[in-house]
Amino acid sequence: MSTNEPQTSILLLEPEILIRMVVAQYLRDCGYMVIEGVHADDFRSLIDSGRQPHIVLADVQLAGAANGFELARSIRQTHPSIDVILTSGIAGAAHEAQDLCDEGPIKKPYHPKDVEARIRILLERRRAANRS
Amino acid sequence: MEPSTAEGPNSENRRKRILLVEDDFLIRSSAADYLRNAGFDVNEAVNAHEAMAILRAGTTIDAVFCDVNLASDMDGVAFSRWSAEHYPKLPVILTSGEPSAAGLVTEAPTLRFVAKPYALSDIERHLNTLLDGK
Repeated sequence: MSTNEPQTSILLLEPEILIRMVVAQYLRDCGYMVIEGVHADDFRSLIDSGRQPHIVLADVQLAGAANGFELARSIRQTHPSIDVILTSGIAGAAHEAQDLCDEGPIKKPYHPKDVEARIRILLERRRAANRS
Repeated sequence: MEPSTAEGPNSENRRKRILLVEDDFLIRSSAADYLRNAGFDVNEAVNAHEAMAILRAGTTIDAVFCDVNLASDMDGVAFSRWSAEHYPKLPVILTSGEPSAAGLVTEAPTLRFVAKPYALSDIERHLNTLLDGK
């Protein structure tokens, strides 16, 4: 990616915090500019503020008025140039994040990390903390 | 080499990590952008429960910047009390548009109150001061 090109931006809509945290960090490490949200409405807020992401990576289960499917349908109609990727659960989010990293924008100097395994460890740790 | 994650090595040279707790999407994303450009790593939480989950998962956090008015059953003041109980050395900056909220904040070496509207450069300065003292 040349330095003259704007950084590829991803709006990551994921209501589960530990999935969002790990996936966002992973995508940033891969060179993407990541905007984090939890609601379908966050897409509209971003557009209304004058910013348009290149990619929307959204869980099918979103908080707010619309779910991921409805949001994807709406974006295809109003902003057909935006790539929408829908995910479901930990495995889906991890798989799509790893695919995006394989495509760039920067070449990773390390072997793709198992995003899914890391999220599961954090979830287990949180469950243990909640029990104690 | 592994990608740097929320649990990077606790070396002197690593970037300081800020936990940003703010329910307003646009305020949160612009503050997070600013702090990342200022050289911090930033974890974003939309409410106190997300912030607690991030800390409970063992994420290394150096300081918290938290709105008082959060769209959930736990506000920023309650979160700062929880944080002081479980992570007594963790610096917390609370912010609110209501000046009366300052009165709810108990003075402590690790706790600061900054009134809204704030300049992000002021938040950066407060964070650097709090983190320098660590």
